[in-house]
Amino acid sequence: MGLKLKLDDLAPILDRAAQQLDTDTLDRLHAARRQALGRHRSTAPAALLSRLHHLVTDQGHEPHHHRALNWAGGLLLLAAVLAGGWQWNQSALHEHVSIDLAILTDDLPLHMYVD
Amino acid sequence: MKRNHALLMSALVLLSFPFCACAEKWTELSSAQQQILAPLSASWDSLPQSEHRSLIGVANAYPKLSPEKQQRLRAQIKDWAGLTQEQRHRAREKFSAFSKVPEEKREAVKQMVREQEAQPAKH
Amino acid sequence: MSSREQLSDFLASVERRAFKQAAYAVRDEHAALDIVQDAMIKLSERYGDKPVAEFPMLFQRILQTTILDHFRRQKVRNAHFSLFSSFGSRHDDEEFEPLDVLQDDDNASLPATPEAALQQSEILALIEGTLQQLPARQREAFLLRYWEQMDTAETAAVMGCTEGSVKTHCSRATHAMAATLKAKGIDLSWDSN
Repeated sequence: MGLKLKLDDLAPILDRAAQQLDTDTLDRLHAARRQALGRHRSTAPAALLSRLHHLVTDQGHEPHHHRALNWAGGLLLLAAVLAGGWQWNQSALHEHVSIDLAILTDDLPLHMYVD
Repeated sequence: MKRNHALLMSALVLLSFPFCACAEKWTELSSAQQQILAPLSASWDSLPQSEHRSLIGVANAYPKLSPEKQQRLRAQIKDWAGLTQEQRHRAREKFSAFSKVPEEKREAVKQMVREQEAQPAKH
Repeated sequence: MSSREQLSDFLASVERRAFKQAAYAVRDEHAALDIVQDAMIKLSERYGDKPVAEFPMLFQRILQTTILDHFRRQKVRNAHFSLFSSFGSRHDDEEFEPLDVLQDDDNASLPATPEAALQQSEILALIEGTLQQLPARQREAFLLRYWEQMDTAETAAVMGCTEGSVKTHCSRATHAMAATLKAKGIDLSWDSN
């Protein structure tokens, strides 16, 4: 009788629509992706350490005192990053407390903000 | 070589510092905090660490609140703790967005809510 | 921890669907592009070092909240702010939705259009049209479940609601979809679970 579709058929149909984007849109999407990748921040310890490692282990032929400066510089960098990270953690936490307090004591009841 | 190893080792030690797990057990709270957070005594251990820190902050701020706000807090804190992490996250986002709306519009919404809440439930 | 390449692969795999999702929601391709760009940057900046397996859910959550932010800014600009409509909160379920009347069983007596006459593009247009008319939360739940292929638990986590709410939203969306398609002689079916 009528055409029969299953719910599972909808995804491929929508996929097909997604494939049919015009080149302008695609270009802009690719540009967005490149921009996002440019801002890729890795704050993982391993990444920090590798940055630090690069700073410290220079394969160059500098005299001894330059090596020591690099080492000190590396420590300073580490300290600055840690201080920055630690502060960020603290301020993010502080924000949480303020906002939680506000939500719990506001004149609008809590359930207004909950789905 | 050895010098670099030492540096990396000390870096590792330093890096572990901000990431320490400082889970607050219920029994480690002060009696003042326990009093304020009393409705949560049973569920405390199941709450995530980030919520512990936040709730302790809220408890610390409690004494300085007006009696009205203290009462609202006491009335709602158990529900708050009973939400999922996602619900709390969304609630914070909604609250934050709402707080950026101009004062008069916020007031209008609050008034609307007060009127609705005053009516008997429709279902 | 994900490499830049893994992040790149993920973004490439999701960008078209993300654009379409945003476009269905805001009905403005220009704004949709901005939203997707915004969401990609946020994912990269805030969660770029998370395991790649977490990207789909993280990105969907970011995408949905970025879409919501767009609506909120629109609403504030239009000076018609309402806590309910902006955030699609619990009152979403109580909105009168014109499509709901199509669920009326009396419509089942309408004659079906011969299926041969319908092109794929017409079906697509019908589906996209229905999607655009759905309340925001219903559309969100529907697309996360049936296009992004997330299960109810993942969808609930992205949407910040209970699994029960997800099922309700999905049920309403699929019924609205089925009603629209039925009027054109297409029988949409699914396994009820």
